[in-house]
Amino acid sequence: MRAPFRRSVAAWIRNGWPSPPPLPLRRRGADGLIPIDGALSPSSTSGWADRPVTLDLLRVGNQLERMGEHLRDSRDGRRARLDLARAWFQASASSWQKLADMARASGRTCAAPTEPLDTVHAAPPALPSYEVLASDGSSIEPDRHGLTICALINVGLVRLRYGDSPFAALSNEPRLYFRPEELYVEQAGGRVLLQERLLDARRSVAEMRALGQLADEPSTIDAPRVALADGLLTIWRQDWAGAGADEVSDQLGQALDAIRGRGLPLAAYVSNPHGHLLIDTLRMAARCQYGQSGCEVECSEVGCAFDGLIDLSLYDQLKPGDRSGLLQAAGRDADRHGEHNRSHFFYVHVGREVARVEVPRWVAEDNELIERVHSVVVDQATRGQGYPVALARAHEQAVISGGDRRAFQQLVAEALQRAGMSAGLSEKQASKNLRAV
Amino acid sequence: MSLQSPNDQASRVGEVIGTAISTFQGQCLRLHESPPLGALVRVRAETDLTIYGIVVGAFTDGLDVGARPIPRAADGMEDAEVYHNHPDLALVLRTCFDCLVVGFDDNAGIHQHLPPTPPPIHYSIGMGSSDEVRGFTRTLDYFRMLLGERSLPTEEVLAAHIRCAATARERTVADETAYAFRVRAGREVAALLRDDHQRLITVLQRIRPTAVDERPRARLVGETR
Repeated sequence: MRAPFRRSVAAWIRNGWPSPPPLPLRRRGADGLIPIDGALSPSSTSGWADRPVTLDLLRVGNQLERMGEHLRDSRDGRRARLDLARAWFQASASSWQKLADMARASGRTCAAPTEPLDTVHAAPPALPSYEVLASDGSSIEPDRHGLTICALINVGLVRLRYGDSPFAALSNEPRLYFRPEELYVEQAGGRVLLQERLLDARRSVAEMRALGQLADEPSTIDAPRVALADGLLTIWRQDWAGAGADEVSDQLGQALDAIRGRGLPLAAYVSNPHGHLLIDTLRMAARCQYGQSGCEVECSEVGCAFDGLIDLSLYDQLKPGDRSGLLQAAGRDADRHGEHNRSHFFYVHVGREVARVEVPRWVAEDNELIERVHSVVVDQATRGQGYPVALARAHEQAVISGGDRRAFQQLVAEALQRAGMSAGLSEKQASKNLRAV
Repeated sequence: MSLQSPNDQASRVGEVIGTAISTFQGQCLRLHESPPLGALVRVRAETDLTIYGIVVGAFTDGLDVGARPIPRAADGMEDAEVYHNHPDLALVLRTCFDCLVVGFDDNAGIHQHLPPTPPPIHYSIGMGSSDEVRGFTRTLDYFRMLLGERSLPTEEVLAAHIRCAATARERTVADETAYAFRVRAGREVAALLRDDHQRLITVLQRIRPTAVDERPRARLVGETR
């Protein structure tokens, strides 16, 4: 079957299958329609294959074919490992307390059940009225090759109210970081530019602070409220150990405390979750020795039988609206943002997928709040046709499009010019822009 | 005669979001609240320049480029209930309307030809008041501009505009009844489309006076036919 696949890719590149390539733009010349510079000449017969392409799709196609074969070959093995994990899940369902004690005592990052593993909570009745607050963020990273080094975080804010007095408010809050103390963090005696994960962490702090501010705005109706965040409630990572990132971690803790102080139940939502904290707990329960003697699962020499599995696979018994039993994050760093904010989570079937919902400890320990979060998450995903509408709107408010990014760079240039600063791109960036031949 | 009046909030129906010398596009202040097809609208461009346009089309789409409306009615919930249950929709959808420029007022008087400059972007678009509509439609030279716009359903737009202008005469003490205006407008259209019987008939069928056109208004202005 290789040859037909390769031929189809080659044909696609050559002919533009399945849809034909776009017609070249034309403008009116003195002698009628002429192709715009760089577009194909009318006499060209081979389509867009004539244009220089840096990505060799034909060669990628070969590799994609091998990837498909690899996935097909590993499917059976994965299925067997999944059956094994499910068997451990069922076997440990009733002995959840033992499992939890082991998880907490291990010091490893894993999940400690707080109720029988196979617990299923049906969706609580829909709330007749409620208010949901949500935030999401987007950022522009500092660019060493740009005009100047600065970062931007844009936070989208959403307030939606349902019931007899429906209401909606969408807004966004951009913040520019340009002072050295904002742009650099200490690491091993040196200074590291605020980018990638550190910038993501700063963005998470901004999102949580925004939720707290939203909660402060007065509401005209007395309806139950829930705050929704995108992703996780924890930002601490082991690889930050030397990064002196305690400051940003503490800031997140303070933002979470502020939300708790306002009594606003908070939940963080993950679509298509790939977490494996519970799998890691089951691996410990199986006393996996990675192929050595004493291993109770059938590990091979190259890896553990639980490798590559995710918690989501264990919850295929959930029906639309159902949520799983509650699990508590365990590990040395679990209380890094404060004991009250220790992450707890459950899986919930929102109609089209099973999502992961994380709540802080103070919410997890209040059954009324957990039920409220469950009800709101399911209702939001129903209204959003698969994904909570408040988070979708927050994302739309936060997202910085390619056009916005270009406009931002233009504004930076103008601001520097007004300030009497001469600034230029690095030679690398200038070279990229020019693309001289 | 000049018709210029200050922009007041009550008459504001939208904001200019696209502009050219002969057309402009407005975004409605509220979703689905477009001025009616054929309505006379104005943009106060400068202190002494008011640009007039006629609404020639309207549409509703997603505010974000690429945002695509999807069906949301379900379980017996439909129409206005969809918006009740999704209050965010009013903020992520928009209604816009297209206008054809038909003249301007520069304090020296009304001119029924293109203005010297296009309406400024982001300026307010106001509905023409009954006085403004009656003033602007005293002469109907701009009908030729409307009928010459081949990219539009011009007969429908012109007929809608004539009905709107007639309505402006129903609502006020007018020196010309709605009926009389329809007759005058019909004659103007007949002169312009004398070589195109089909288009003429299309317009005349759509501006035919109704019983409502005369009685109350005729009494109101003390006129008889």
